[in-house]
Amino acid sequence: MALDNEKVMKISIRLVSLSFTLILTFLLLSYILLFLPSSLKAENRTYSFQTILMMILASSTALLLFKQMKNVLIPRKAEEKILSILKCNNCDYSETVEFKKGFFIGKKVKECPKCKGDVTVDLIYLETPKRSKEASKPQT
Amino acid sequence: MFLVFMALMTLYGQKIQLMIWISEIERRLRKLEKMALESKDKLAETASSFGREKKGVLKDIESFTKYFIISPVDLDPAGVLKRLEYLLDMGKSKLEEYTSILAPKAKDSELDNFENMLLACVALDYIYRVVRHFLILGKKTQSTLIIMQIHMQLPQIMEIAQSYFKALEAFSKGLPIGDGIGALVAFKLGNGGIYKEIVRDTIVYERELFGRKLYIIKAKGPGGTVGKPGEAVKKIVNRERNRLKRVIIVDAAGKLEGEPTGEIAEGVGAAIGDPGPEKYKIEESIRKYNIPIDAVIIKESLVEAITIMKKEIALSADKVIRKIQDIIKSRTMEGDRVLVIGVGNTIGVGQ
Ligand SMILES: [Zn+2]
Repeated sequence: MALDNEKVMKISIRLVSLSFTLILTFLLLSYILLFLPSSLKAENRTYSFQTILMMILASSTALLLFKQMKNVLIPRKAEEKILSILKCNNCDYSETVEFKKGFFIGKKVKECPKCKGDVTVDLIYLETPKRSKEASKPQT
Repeated sequence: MFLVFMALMTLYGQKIQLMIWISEIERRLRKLEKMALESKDKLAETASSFGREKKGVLKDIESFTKYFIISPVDLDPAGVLKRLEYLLDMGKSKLEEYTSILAPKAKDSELDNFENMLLACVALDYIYRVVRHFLILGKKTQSTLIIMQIHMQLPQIMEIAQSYFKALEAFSKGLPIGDGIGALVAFKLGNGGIYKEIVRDTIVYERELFGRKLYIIKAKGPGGTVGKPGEAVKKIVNRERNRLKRVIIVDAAGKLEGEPTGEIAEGVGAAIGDPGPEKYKIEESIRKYNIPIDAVIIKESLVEAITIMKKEIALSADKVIRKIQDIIKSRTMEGDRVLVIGVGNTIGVGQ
């Protein structure tokens, strides 16, 4: 799972940067193409108004495109882990392990290596990395 | 060229907008359909591990996901809660019948978890069908209003669908969910002590704490069930009567956006999110003997409530226990009897 996610992340980062440069060049090109005729015929005022409008349109299209790209390509799901805290009922022994099928809170898992008492599952929870604020957003 | 564009936009702008909305709804509807189908597949897979062949099981699932309960008539409110409870019990036994058909070899707690999975499938299927209904209706009537409404609500609908989809994982593996925090608190407060099953699927611990006698109610785990806490409270209160000096109820509650997950708040009242009967039983029992009630809630979102328990929620359990201890120490006296109720789905939490 974790390996797959990393791979996907790398590929998507490359793709996003590629598309970003593509969009940028497209924007620059369109600006140049739009400005060239208007600078040649600078006396035509209505034409320059139209140019500005077209520019706004072009940039907003580019922005929209970029937003869509980001939605599609950046994976929202950061690596989430299901952890279980195991605790001894007699002493202060405790350890954190990954969840295994069949675990439930209160289940006796093994013998304590320190005092031979019962080690039970104390907590089971989902650990999400802090940086992934995006991850909590719904995928739409 | 420019003028043509302007003319097009002013004349057909709304039509174009409508088309964009429709295509967006269609895209998300495909996603919903995929989720509904995948959830059924997952259910079928689980069923096949409990002794059903995968072929016939999908057909059964298809018919079971159309499951519904009709709420009782409330024009004549007298006894409506009794009728509601009866219908809910019937619904539950129907579900149990379904699950025993789908998973004949499952054991008790597995059967409970399977039932929860089936319910998540029912929810996903229903969401898909409702969105599809409004899309087709909007297309048929070309109504901007219908299309706009469904388009605007879709983000929330998608979030709910996503959380049901994610909940399947928790249910299939028997993982504790956010809603189970009440049960977890009860388990920790019970501290592995002696308990007995007072009502079906509901247990009560008895233990001493600071010289007070504590009764602690929770659903019977680790299968996914909420038990019948109201019925259990009724039984204990009717037995203890005025000897019971205080009731403390713990439950997960919906948070407002912006509030931190796992925040604890204290108030008064029967903090329980059932359709009505259990809440009514608790209120009626404590009112009968004038027993004061404290409510301690743990804040979480709807999504967090039905998906795997987050760290913030799990770690709040100890804080809640400290709060309960404070309440017991400051508001009751030695020798008193106190009832603590841990409300919620106890999946992944034993006793
Ligand atoms: Zn030990």
